[in-house]
Order: sequence, then structure tokens, then C-alpha cells
Amino acid sequence: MRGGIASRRPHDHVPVLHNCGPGSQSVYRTGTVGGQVVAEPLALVVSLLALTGVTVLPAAMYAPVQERQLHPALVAAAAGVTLDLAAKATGTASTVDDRELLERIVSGRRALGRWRDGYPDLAMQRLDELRDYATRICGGTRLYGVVRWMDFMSAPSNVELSGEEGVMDAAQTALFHMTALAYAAPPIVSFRRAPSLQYFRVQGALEVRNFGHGHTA
Amino acid sequence: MALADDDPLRTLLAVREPLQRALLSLTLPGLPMLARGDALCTALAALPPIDAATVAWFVLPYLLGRPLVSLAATETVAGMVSDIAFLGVGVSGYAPHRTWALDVRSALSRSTLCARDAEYLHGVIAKHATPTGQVTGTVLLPPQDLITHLIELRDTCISALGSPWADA
Repeated sequence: MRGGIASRRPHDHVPVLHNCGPGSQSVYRTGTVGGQVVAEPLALVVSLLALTGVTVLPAAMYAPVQERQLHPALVAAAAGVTLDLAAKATGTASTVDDRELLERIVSGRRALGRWRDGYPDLAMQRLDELRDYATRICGGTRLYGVVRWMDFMSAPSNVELSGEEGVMDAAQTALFHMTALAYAAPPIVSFRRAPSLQYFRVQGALEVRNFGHGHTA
Repeated sequence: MALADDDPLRTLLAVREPLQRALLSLTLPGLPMLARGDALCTALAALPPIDAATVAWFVLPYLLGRPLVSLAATETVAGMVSDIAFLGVGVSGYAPHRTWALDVRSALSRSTLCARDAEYLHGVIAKHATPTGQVTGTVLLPPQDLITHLIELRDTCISALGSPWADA
């Protein structure tokens, strides 16, 4: 015989996310596990570059350069903004000076020259530097969770500054999203790998499901 | 060429019971990384599906927290849990099945499992142990023995492996 409500412990409840109602395939659906973050590379890069005053990118920057990947110069510039934020958050001097790169981005792909001329290397170098900041600012580089790539998912992935106290929040958000995208190899994120530009794409998003333990990147 | 008598791989391969072999693959000193991952994945494959999904869940933090096995092996284990973690599991049937699913979740929440583990194991039980069609009016009872078994699996994993973040 099942116990009544009075005999149940206070935490004996069914989470609200449970049971979306009878569907054509099932009468019940169990809940998903952990907390979810969605990192959409295009929105993330655009919002990071907006912090530098580049509010509108030339269409050529996120049109297919290499099929569906973002231009490596955009990734390098976004990683530069993230490094700058991380330096501010930790009270250290920023070593990034991207004025020339940003001018070239605003001027379009022709001003950047051929896409493979150094920008991928610069982007990779900066993504590698982000890992160190992720260790210092985000409490570790270990993510206890799983990830998956969704080609057609769209979600806001904005980084915004709101006063002095907002710098740390913005730095953590930017670091988490940028490193997740750089080190993702679904179903895991691993900082044991070299970074990659593979998931900096013009469409789609990375879903990160964190299982907790207080060790998130 | 035969393995040397003091080769830890010989020790590992001598263990036939899959759960013990899976746990030993992560704790036995002196094993190469590839051998650990290979032994872990083959042991998980040898377990009953519901046990494999449960053990995969409880060993995953150890694999993500330290370089014990290859990344390919870690991805294999993560792949075993990701569908349930991302999507949950649909329970097919009729009203008694819905009541059964709620009762299972309630039973899990009264156990010693933390919320995250209860959530995941609810998906595991729904995926692997949902009762098949039944006569109208029959009450479907929560699988208390199965819940106890899965909690024992958790305890076995934790006692063998310790805290996943202890010295990572």
C-alpha cells in the first residue's frame, strides 16, 4: 500500500518539468537531467564584437566562407574581446590590441585578405589562452556533463556589460561559451584536446547539459 | 606472447564479473590508458543494459575529471547517458502506466539518491523496465527491488572509486 501525503518527506515531490501530458507516443515523459546552457556561436561572436563598437558585421563575415563556418578573423576577434574581459575581471593588464583587426573586419572580407592568412592560427592561440582564464575565473576547466550540437537551434547567447560589477559576470559568460565551443567534441567537452574552430558555425548551437558537482568550466 | 605474471593487465583480464572488471579497470595501478578504456567499455557492454546505463552514469564524473582513459572511451560512456540526460524518456501505455511512472519517481525521491541521480535513474527505469501492456484495473507497482538494486550499484561504484574530485 502506498503511503499518504502526510507520510512523505518534504522533498518527495515530482518536479514541474515532469509529464508534459499524454502525447501521441507516450503517456508520460521523465525529466531531463541537470542544467542547460545553449551557446550559439554567431550570436555570441556578434555580441562580443558589439562590446568593441562593431555593431554590424559585413554580410561576408558570416556568409559561408568555408561552407558554414564563421570567418576565423571573427573568432580571433571574439576571443580577443573575451581575453580582454577576463583580464579586466582579474585586474591584470590586457595584452590584446585588436584595433587594426576590427577595422579590417568592418571593412569586409577583402580588407582581411585571404581567410587562411594567419587568422586561424591567431584564433587557435587565443582559444588556448582562454583555457587558462577558464581555470582561474570559472573554478576549473572540468565540465561534468554532456553536450550536443543542434544544427537548427537558435538561442540568444548574449554577453552584456552592466557596470563595474558586470565585468566578472560578462567574463565568466564569455569564457564559458567560448571555451565550450572551442573544446566541444559531442558528447563531451574536453580540455585535454587542442581547441578547434569546428563548432564556430554560422547556424546552429551547442547545448551544454551540466550535471553539477560544482565543477563547471 | 603471454603476459607476465605480474602484469596488471593479466590481473584485470582474470576478473570475469563485468561490474568488478569495470571498476578495477579504473582503480588498478600500472595499467596503460588504452587498456583501461578498452576494459571499461567491454565490461559495460557485458552488463545488462539497465546496469550498464546506471554504472555509466556513476563512473562518468571520474572519466571527465581525470585522464584515466582515452577520450574515445570517455565519449562512449558519455554517449550512454546523453540521450536520457538531454531528452528524458517517454513512457508508453495507458493511464496505469502514467501512475506507475509517477510512483517510481516518488519512490526514487524517498530513497537516499540525490535529486540529480534520482532524475537520471527514473529515465533509466522508464527506458528499460516500463511494464508492458496490462489488463485494465490492474495496479502497476513501482519496481522496489530494481530501485534497491540500482542504489546498490551506486554504492558499489562510490565505494570502489571514492570521490570523483578527490585528487583530480
